[in-house]
This record gives sequence, C-alpha cells and structure tokens, in this order.
Amino acid sequence: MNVLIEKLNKGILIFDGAFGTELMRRKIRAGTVPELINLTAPEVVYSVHRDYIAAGADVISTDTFGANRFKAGEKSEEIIAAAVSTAKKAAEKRALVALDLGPTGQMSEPMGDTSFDEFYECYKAAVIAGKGADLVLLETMSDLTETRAAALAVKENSDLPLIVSMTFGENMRTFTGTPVDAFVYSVRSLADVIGVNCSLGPKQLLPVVERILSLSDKPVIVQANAGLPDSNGNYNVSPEEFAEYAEIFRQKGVSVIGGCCGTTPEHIAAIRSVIGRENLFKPASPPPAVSSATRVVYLDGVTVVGERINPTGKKAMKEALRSGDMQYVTDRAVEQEDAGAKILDVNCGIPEIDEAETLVKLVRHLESVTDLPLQLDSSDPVALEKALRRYSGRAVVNSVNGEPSSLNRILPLVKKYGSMVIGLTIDENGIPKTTEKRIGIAEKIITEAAKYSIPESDIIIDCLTLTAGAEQDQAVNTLEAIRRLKATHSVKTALGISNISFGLPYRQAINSGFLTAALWAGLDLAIINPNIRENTECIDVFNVLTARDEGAKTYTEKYSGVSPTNVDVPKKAASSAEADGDLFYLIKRGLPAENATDKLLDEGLSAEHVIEKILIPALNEVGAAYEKGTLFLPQLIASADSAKSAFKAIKRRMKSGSAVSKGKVVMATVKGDVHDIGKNIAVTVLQNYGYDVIDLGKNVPPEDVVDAVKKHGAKLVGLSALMTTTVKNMEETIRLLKRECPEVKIMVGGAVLTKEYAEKIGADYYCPDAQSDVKIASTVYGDKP
Amino acid sequence: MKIPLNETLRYAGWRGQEPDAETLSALNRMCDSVLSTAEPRGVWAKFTLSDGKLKEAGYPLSGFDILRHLSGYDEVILMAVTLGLSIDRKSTALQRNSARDALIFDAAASAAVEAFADEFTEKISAEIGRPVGRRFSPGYGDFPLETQRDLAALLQTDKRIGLTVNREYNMIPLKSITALAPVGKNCGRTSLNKCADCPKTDCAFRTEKK
Repeated sequence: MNVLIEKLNKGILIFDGAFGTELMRRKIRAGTVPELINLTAPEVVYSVHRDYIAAGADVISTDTFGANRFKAGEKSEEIIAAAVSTAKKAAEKRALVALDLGPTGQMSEPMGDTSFDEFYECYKAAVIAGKGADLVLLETMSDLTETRAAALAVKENSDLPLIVSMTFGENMRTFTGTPVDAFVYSVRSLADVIGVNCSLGPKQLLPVVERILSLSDKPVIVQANAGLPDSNGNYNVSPEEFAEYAEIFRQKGVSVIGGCCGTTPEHIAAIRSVIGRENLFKPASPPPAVSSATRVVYLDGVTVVGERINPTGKKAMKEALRSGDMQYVTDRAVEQEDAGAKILDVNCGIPEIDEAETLVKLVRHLESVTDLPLQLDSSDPVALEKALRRYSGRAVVNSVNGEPSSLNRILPLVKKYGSMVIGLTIDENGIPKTTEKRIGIAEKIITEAAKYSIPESDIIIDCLTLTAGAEQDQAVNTLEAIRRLKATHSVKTALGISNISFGLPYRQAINSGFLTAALWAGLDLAIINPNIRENTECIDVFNVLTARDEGAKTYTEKYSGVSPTNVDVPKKAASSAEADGDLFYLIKRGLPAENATDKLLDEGLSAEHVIEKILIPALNEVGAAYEKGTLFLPQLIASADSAKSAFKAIKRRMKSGSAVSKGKVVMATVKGDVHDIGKNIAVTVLQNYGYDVIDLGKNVPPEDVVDAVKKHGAKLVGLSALMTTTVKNMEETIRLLKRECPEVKIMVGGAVLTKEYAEKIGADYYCPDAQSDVKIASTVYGDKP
Repeated sequence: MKIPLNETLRYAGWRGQEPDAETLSALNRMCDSVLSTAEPRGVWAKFTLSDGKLKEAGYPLSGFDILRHLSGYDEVILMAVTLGLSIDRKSTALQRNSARDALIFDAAASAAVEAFADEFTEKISAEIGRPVGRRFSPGYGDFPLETQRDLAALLQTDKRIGLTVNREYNMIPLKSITALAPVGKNCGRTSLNKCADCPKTDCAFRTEKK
C-alpha cells in the first residue's frame, strides 16, 4: 500500500497553501519563470516550506508548479531536482513532500497543436527529475488530454502515489470545456486521489466538490483559493472563514485539504486548529457512463450506438480507411450524431492496414469532429491499448470474450484505463446454442473482471445475434439470455441487430421486429445504423410505451409531421425551406441548391451539363463580380456553399469511381499554425470547380505534406499561414517539397503574406483571395476555369 | 458586450458593397451566436515602467514602437482577454456546414474580442480610478510576436483565464488579445484607431489603405 493511502486510512491530510503569495510577502519579484528562485535563492523557498510545516501542514508541495520543459525550458530538470531537495530538507521527515506539477500552458490537439506524446514526454522528464518526493500532485489542470498524459507519465515512470486535481469554474467545467463528471470518469482509474483546486473560493467550489464526491470511488482533495482576487490582486477570505469551509468539506467526505492562490500559513494554521482528524470519505458507486473530453453519456434508458464506422461488409468505408479519406469518416460520424447516436463504434479491422495505427488516427480525427464518446471495436490488445491511451475520455472497449487469452489480455487494459467493456458470450468453443451456456460465459466474464476490481456496473454483455435465416431457434435464446442477465446482474447489455436478417428478403422488417423484442427483453445499447428510420422508430416507440418518453413529448415533436401518405420524417428546416428555382440564379444568390439540382437531373440533364453549363458559369460570374469589388466576400462564399449543396445532389447519383476530377490539389495549414478558416474556404471553392482536394487540416508537419503529394501524385499544393511566426514553417515546407517533389507547384496564402514575400520563400504562386486558387489550379492543370 | 457591425464587416472583407438580404440576416444570426457562445474572461496587472522594463517582473520590452507608445508614462497595465474555447469549437462546427456563416462568425468574433477588450480596459480604469490609454499588442509595429508568450506567463493566463500561447506564438483560444496600455492623464483614450499609426502598411485588415 502506498504512503498516501496509508496516511489517509488513519485520518485526513492537510496540504500547504500558496507559494506565490508568500514570495510576494517576501518582496520577491516573479518573472516569466518564477520557479528559477529554486536555483537563485533556495533559502527563501526553504523558509516558505518551514512556515507551512510550522502552521501544521502534513504535506508540503515543491515550488515546481511551472517548472516543466514547456514553461521553464532547458533548466526545467535542474529546477525540479533543486526544489525537491530543498523541500526534503525543510520537511525533515515531519511532513511528506509532494512533487507539484502544473499545466504546460499548451493546448492539446485538436483545438491546439500539442500532442498527447509531447505532453507525456514533458511530464515524464519532470517526474524523473523529481525523484525523491513522496508523492506527486498534478494540479490546476484544465485540459483533459494533458491531464491524462501527465497522469500516465507519472504512473509509468515512478512508483509514487498520485493526486490529480483539475480546476473548475462555476459552470462546473474547466476552461477547455471538460465537465466535472467527465474528469471523474476519465481520470479516477489513473490516480490515487482526485479533486479540484484554484479558480474559486471555498464557498463557490462547494457544488463542484459535492459533485466529485457523488461520483468518485477515490478519496477527494480540495485546495480552494482564498476567494476571488480584488482589483489589487488580493484574496479576501480570512483564515477563519477558510477553515470553517475546510471542516464543511471534511464532513462531506473530503480527505485531503489545502489552499491555493491567496492562502497563507495563517490559513493552514486555522484549518489545523478547527478541523477534525477523522477521514469521513465513503467511496461512491458511480452509475455506468462513458465520456469524451467534453460530454458525458449516462447509460440510462436505451442508448444508440452508431455502427457505421466499420469496414466489415462496407466497401466505401474499406476504401476510405485504406486511402486515408478522413472526410468520408467525418461524414459518417456527423450523420450518425445527427440521427441520434449517443456513442460511436469505431472499427478498422481490415487485413491490409495497420489496425493500431489506424485506430489511433481515427480516435484523433473523431475527437476533432464530434463530442460523442467512442466505443473502440477491436479484439487486438495492442490496438486497443494504443487507442485507450490516446483517447481523452472514458471509452467502451468492444470487446472481451470468454476465452482465457482474451480475458487475460483485455481486462487489464479495462482496469488501467478505467473504461467500460463489452463482454461477448462466446469462448473457445464458439457461440453456445443454449441460453444457460451464454449466461455461463457472461458470468465467467463478470467473475474474471471482479478479480481486477472491475464492477458489474462497468460491464456490458453482448448475447450475440445469430442469423435467423440459418439458425432460427437462436433468436429466442439471445433474447432470453438478455432477460435473465438483466434480472440477476447489474450489467448493461448490448446487441448488434442487423445480423439477424442476413439472407432473408425485406431485411428491415426482421431487424425492426428483433430490435423491438430485444428492447423489451432489456437491451440497453442498441448497436445500429441510426440513419435507418425504422431503427430509431422502434426505439422511439419503445420509449413511449415504457413511459421513458414522458408525455410522449419527444415522439410528438419528432413525428407530428408524419402522415400515412408521407412517412418520411421531415428533415431539418434548411432543406425543406429550400428555395425552388433556377439553379443558375440560386448559385449566384448563394441559396441552397440541392433540390433544384435534383430536379434538373430528374428531368434528364447530365451531371456534366449541370456542372459545366450551369454551376461553373454561375461561380465564374460571382467570382468576376467579387474581383471587380462589387460583391461582398460572404456573398462569394455563400455561392460556394450553394454549389457545394448542388454537388451533393450530383454525387448522390454518381456511381463510385465515375466522378470526373480536374486534378488533385493537396491543401494544408502549416505546422504550428492553428488558423484554418481561410484554407477551408479555399478548399470548398476548389472542390466546386471539380478539383479533388486532399485536405490535410491545420498544424501539418512538412513531411506530411510531402507524403501526401507523393501518395496522391498531386501537381499542386496550397499552403496557408496566418502568423509571421509560422511563415518560416511555410518556407521550410516549400524547401522540403522542392527537394522531394521538384515537379509540384506551390501556391501560398494567408493574411501576413504578400506577393513579394511569397516569391522570396520560394512559392510558385501567391493567392491574395479565395478566388485566385481556382485560376492557379486551372493554369497548373491546363484547364479553362 | 456589443459587437460593432462596421468592424464585423471590415473583418469579413467589406469594401463598401451593398450586402444582400441573406448576408444581412447571416450577419445578425452570427453576431447573436457569438454573443451566446462567448465566455469572455480577462486578467490584468499593473506594472511600473522603468528603463524600458516592467519593473516588478524585471521584464525588458523589445522593439522601438512599444516604448514609444508607452513613453512618458511610468505605470502601465498588462492585460489579456479571451472569448474562450467554445468560440473555436463553434467556428470549427460551422465550417463544416456553411463557409459563409463560418466566415461571418469569425469576423464577428474578431470584432467581439476587440469590443470586450475595450470594455475590459474601461473596467480597469474604473477600478484603479485613473485613465488607461490605448492598447498595444505583440505584433503591432516592431513589438515582437514572440513577446506574446512572456506576457501570458507574467499574467499566468493559462490557469487564470484558460489562454495558452503555442510554440509558434499562436494564442489558443484564437479570439484572444494580450496588450500593454499606459496609465495616466492624456494617455490617448480619445483615439482608438489602431491602424493609422501602424507602420505595417500592407496589412490585409488595415482600415485606411494608403
């Protein structure tokens, strides 16, 4: 047992208070790296520690909050080592020494540009430099990706107990949007103690603390600020009032209490004098839930799991995964979310690709397009572990089964990363043909999981759907197994539905019937295609009939427009309100044009005719008006949106592979730059003129641009940079392209560039606006715009 | 906070054209959306300016233009404001659905963060009971963009308002401002025209083209 838990078994622990406040009292000025004081004046640091110990702190924190490599640079490790040594000297074994690690000041991908691995390496270096401390305090964290990377770095590079504390505002979220619940579910398995610090005074933190206590099975820490700072930067909660709250926190179950900004040795002494010693923490049994970094999904009622990101039996998805077409994946994710999916299943198990690498890539990509929690669908422990590490949230692992080799390899991952897990009722002997044997495998999984302290409530059992066309008697066994498991265990159940109808005509009727039966048997997670209307109808009806949809409110809202002659659920207002009219006019005016395009194609016009005779001339006309200065930029862009909607109708009718492309263009915002709206607009415009655009996104390393050009054989690359500081990365990308792909032409754009500057850094073309890309592309590909 | 329409138009690339009804409607919708999405936060500290340094931090300011801007004042305000990450997320989502809306939203958010910085400046002025002058930010004139990270570090913007600066000096959330402003009488509250005095004459967003 670790020293922290040992102490907590005996009673609560009191931490120290703020460091900065104490340094200010000593008239020490803080520069950009305040922790340098550990090297320049360790005696001052020593005296602050001594004051806190004298005040009664059981644990003192090293003065290393911002001493990480990102903030302190190359001196980082030297500072940390010195700080630990000073703290140990001050502690004289009378107090524990916590290695204090704060945030790096960098934002994680996708909103920022710092990767999980970069965070990991930074905290790994810090924890190695800080050896000698008794425990690690990871505090004031706001970014869940960074927090999890840091926690893993501590756990995998030391044996020290770990406290993880994030900072929440009154909206119960961190600055990056992580709710309290997502923090608890995503971090508790990696830490010994979790909690909250900074941002607010003790009074304002009370709701946050109560929420954490209600969900945490790990002891809880609170280090509040001494109120909110006034205009002079002073914090005004007195030691006495602060101590009163400390006792309130203890009585609610908080085990570790200290102070953050504005707290002093007087605050700690006041806590010491009034607080009881008994640790009243009672571990909570959190209800089953999964989460992304910003959204928690509780598994109460029926939860729709979108099954579409899976190449099995889906040619287009296979092709997309093979070629790395992330747009296709985006579309499937967004369309399932819109149709009501609450979790997305992610599977990339096809032989030709590296499953681990692709699964991680999909996780990273999906985090940038949706906040839905993910269900990682693989039986490969290596792929699962890589994806679980990288995933900023609490995932569902899909799946483990009754085979010992599966149990032994998957369950430790579920334990370590704190995920939920789907258990398949299959083992080395295949799928049992009786209800009893399926339940037997489920119970074996439950028993084995318990050995890892994984509770039943974290387990979801999939009783497996067999094809009714081949094994007709098995449908009932599946349903009966669900019913009995739900009656005797607190597990959740999941089922993929569509396999039931394989080989039978009119499959959807069978699917709907089976789904409805499964729901009544107690199915919790329906793994379905939510874009099929009948599937979601089954669930909506079930929710009405079981009174989950109170007053049939949701049902009525969704279906009130449905009549016997028109069973299509009305789509969103945008398309139903779509103007009907002349396509050329619609494009010029920037109005939705999907229906009008459909109509022309229905009337027998060819796609080529629509593109060449209507779309492109209309776009050219608005382009010319824009160049003359008579058209306002948003109107030009609205026409691009409009043309995009027309292309949607055209693409729907094209057989895959028959699309005519004018040529390939690779587009990217350069490394270090996270401004991509300009590039995205240019992408839309190029696509509308028939170019096949490979959009690499933002913060793209030079090597990735080169790889994409080689892989796709593109003749033209577009690079964007918005900052004077990132233009040098643009220059570097151009240099590498000229060396590796001397044939390729390069166009550049971005607010800080000029024609002269573009030439200077070696670009072939300069794009002053969104329209110029098209002219350049047509020059390169020898086509008339 | 109010979003000034003329600034939104300018950021959206307006050159005096008559916007059509759809564009005007999008302008209104996107301004409303920015206002309901933004989580504006600010942080500031007062420093003594001495020998070209922020004295309490021992931090020397680089570049001629910032020192010229602050010359004659021995107290300065260092401030940082942000509209928060929810604006960035919303912008990303809009870019998938409507490039036009995304463009206008981005422009409105740029105008909004400036408007919020103006409000925040007023608030500081009210709190200290003295006038606070025009803001000057890294990237203006020859005040190096590289200063951005140090200013953020001095204010601990990451832990206090959730504002980070990446290795290439991009601020994230994107709609954020760091700035220095002089404190005292006659410190130029009257003119907030940042463009006229700026030597970067080829800037795409310059209000008065020469």
